[in-house]
Amino acid sequence: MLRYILGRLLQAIPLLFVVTLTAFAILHLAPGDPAALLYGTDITADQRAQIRAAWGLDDPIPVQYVKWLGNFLRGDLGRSFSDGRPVLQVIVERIPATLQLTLTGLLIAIVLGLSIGTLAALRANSFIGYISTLLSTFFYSLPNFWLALLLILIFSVWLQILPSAGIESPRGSTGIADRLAHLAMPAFVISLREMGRLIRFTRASLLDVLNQDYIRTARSKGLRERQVALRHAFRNALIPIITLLGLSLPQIASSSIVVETVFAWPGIGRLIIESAFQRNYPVLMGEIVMIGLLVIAGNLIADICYAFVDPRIRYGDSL
Amino acid sequence: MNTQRFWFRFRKNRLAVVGIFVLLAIIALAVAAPILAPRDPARIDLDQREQSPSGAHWFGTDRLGRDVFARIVWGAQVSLGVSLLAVSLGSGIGILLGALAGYAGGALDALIARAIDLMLALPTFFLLVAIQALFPPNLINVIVIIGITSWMAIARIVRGQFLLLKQRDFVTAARASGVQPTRIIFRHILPNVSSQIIVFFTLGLADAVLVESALSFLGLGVPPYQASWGNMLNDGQIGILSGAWWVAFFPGLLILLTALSINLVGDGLQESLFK
Amino acid sequence: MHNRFSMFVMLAILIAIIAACSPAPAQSPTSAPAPTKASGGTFVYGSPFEPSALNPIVAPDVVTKWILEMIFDGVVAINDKMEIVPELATSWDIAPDGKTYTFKLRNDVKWHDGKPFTADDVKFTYDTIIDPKQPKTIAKSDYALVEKIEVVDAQTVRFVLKSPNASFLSKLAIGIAPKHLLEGQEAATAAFNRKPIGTGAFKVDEWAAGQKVVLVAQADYFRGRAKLDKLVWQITPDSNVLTLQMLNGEVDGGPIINPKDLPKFKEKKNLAVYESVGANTYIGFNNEKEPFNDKRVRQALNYGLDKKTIIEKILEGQGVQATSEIIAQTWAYNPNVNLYAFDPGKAKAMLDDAGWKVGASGMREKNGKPFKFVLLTNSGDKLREEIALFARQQWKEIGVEVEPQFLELNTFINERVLKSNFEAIFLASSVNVDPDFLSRRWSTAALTNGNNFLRWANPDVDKLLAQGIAVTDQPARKKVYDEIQRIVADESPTVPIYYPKTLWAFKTTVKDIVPSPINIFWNAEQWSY
Repeated sequence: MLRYILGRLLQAIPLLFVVTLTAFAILHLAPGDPAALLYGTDITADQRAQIRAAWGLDDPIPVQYVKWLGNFLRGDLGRSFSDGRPVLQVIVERIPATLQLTLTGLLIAIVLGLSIGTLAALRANSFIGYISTLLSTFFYSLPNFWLALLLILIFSVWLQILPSAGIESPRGSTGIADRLAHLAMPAFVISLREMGRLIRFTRASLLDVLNQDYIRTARSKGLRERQVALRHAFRNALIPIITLLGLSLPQIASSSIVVETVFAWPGIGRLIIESAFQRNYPVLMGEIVMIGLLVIAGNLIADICYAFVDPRIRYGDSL
Repeated sequence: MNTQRFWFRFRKNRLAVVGIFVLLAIIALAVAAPILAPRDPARIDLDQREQSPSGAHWFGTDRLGRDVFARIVWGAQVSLGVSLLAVSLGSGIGILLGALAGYAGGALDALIARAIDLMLALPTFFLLVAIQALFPPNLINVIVIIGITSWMAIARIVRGQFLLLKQRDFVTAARASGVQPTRIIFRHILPNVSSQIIVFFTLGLADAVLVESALSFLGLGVPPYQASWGNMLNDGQIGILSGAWWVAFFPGLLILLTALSINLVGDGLQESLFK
Repeated sequence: MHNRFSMFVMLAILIAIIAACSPAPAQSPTSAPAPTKASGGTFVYGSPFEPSALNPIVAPDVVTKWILEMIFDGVVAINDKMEIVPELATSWDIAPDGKTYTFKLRNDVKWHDGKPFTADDVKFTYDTIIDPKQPKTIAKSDYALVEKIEVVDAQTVRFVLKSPNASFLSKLAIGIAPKHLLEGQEAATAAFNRKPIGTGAFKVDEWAAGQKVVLVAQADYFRGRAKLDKLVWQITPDSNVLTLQMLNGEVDGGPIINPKDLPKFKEKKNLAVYESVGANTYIGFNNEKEPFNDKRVRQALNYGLDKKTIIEKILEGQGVQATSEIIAQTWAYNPNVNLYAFDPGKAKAMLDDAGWKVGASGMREKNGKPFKFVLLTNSGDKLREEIALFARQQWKEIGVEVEPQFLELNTFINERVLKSNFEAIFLASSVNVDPDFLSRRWSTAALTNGNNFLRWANPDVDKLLAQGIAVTDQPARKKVYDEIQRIVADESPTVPIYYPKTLWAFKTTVKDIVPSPINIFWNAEQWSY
């Protein structure tokens, strides 16, 4: 097992390399001159050329990439075009807010999603089954920023019980209650889609397994349905669910872009949008590396869990 | 399974039946747009702007006095068409690559698996902005962009299932008796994966409707004078907080209803096909 | 059973690890508000934008300049009437040759760190801007005419120009940066830019990225301590949400982004609305390209667009018809130019006259080529999208087919506008104090090095632009610029549509706000709350 994990970690290195290479290529092939964007139409062509030269944008793209890679390997991600600060600093200061939001959302989604999903599978044809199916599908089908706007409309405009945006009140946080009030709507919006996916998927996977022969056999042997589900089915159903969780990291990152923008949440998602629109290449590259690492880690964990849960897959032996 | 038994089971899933009726109604809306829509969806009438829903304008009018109902009806064509084509493209790529990787194993599997990881590691939104900057927006681009950014999930799940199934007895038996690999893939294994594929196709279809709205929000894809639900949702968001809620509410509702009914139908299909 | 548990254990560990890696919430609630009753209290301004680098030498964008205005002072300043007034200078003297400017500086000014401000700082600031080794500074070309800067004594500084230039004084409103903190550093990347030290009424206390910038009053500001204790620049990127925060009183003031929301603000008894004027917003043609190289075609399109209706019904009355690049608040403004009142009949006749006849399809064509063009603008700006669609409908009625395209802002500006890679664009100009900025827009020289991206120049205008900076006498200059505006309006290289009203709402308890077209924060030290 340990050898397998180490092997996968080693494989991750070329993967990350390809990710940065591809991203760098797309970024620099896309038209749009950061110098002109930041400085607008009020500077002359000469001055724009000077700025481009100072940022190293006039080198051939392969040369730029090699320079970037060299600096990256030395732990230097460069400096932000917009304010000249080190990229690492720019990114790191946004991480806590995003973690706070996404982990809260994910936690809500996992706890509620797995329980409702299991319930829905076990009571597939009862009223509870219908309701939970409908609910999951409903959650999953909601357009993200439409939901956010409706929530703001309901809770901030009509009922006026929750603040409409921000991570704390503008005059400074007044404690944990203030923070939770600000967290409530965005975390809820982030969790809903994942929760919907999890309910659907838990239910579908469980039903799949419940209908397989060995479970039927087990059931026909007179084991109680509940026991059957928990003992046999759930373990097998976990495989696709884990895959889904591994895959949901970039999903949540995408949701966080919209959610953080609507709710003025000072996290990574908004930084991505801002730096993309500014063509702030160094910051964008830094973010891509970060998300790449996150996704690779997610996949790795999912694969390892696979191996733990399902003894039929034995990495290194059967492949 | 025979058709009769399938329908018998499908009908028992009441949610799926409701879903299929709603979906059919929406499709009918799209198809019958020229008959249903009383007005030109692009016609600007500044004297009729932001009228609330009434007998003359069932869903009200938007900031430029365009009829929201007419735009919903015509927009249905665009939104449904884009999503369907995009997801078909994405699923096609995904199934093909997933099946190949899972069945062949070895170097090909490693390569495809890395390609999947690579695509997943690129934040989709970033990809969209970059592509948007490279190409002038039009319908074909939207379809292709959604297609090529949405094949990974299905590929991954198909690959996972193939990894499992190819070790099963029926595959070993088929291989031992000299059945062609393509035949094993498509005739023996793939049908066993179809429940997963259906789940992901429906998820993907609903997703695509949502992604279309996100793209239009960025000014990508469907030109603003062409009505699509995504465009309308974008148009209407400035009104939702300050009174003209109907401009964003109805397209949002239609997106929700479409995604919801597609998903319910998908559930129903899955249950009745594989129980 | 065992495997399922290990699964959950792993998940739990994963979550624990991620949670452990994340520091506790950005700020612990230790800095709970302890209201100091002494004076003004805390004022919260909501903005969709975050500043970039808080350094007057490098900050390029408008929003950052607004904040800089409160932290730094210039040699001169621009007031709400767009007049040049003394700030760090007490007086100045322009030699008769028009090339030597000598400034007397205040002797009672201190940097926020207590060091005295001197003429060295002025020289340092402008030398750094001019320094070719510091490319990432603002508007270098504005100072290309400076030959040298001399420190006469601690309170006297002298600028020597290569040639007389009447617009020079207006370029000295840039904030002065401290030499003792920035000397020998690259201005664009200095750590200073995140926690700057200025001479202004406020200093930066805290900057929570993506969230807020907190300014506090500087006790020994030379014009007296600001009445506010704190000014919080709160960042809310979604304009709908910002609107709501303003209406709900979650913030104390902010911009009204969509004029359609104005009635909502006026209904609120505890809010007061302020207005100023913004830059000319226009449709510009690529004047070198067929068919826009024909003056009659440009004029016909101008007559064919109902600018009044756009202002009344799309802007909800929150705009004024534009005449040219020069705004009505400056001395150089000429109101007496052709406004091209909406007249589709005349437009059609002029197009006929120019050889564009109505063809079988109902649209105009010439030599078998249909009159069809793409109108480009940036996406994400609802008003612009709506006006572009309205123009499309109107021009269709005179037989011209327009396809509006909405591009992401960066692509639009860099790939299309600046490279003159367009047929027509819909864009806003900028607000400028001195009319000489027109030489960057309409001169022949600006075709090659400048911003004449609309590709229109005219020998008469070239001559007038040169005259405009050669004389320093304002009435004489005004005549020159009046004539330039008349010619440009007649030639119609653009269809000027409107000067938007820029609107703000503040709580009525916030007093003494005086909006200016350049910067509403210009007198922020006077505000009370």
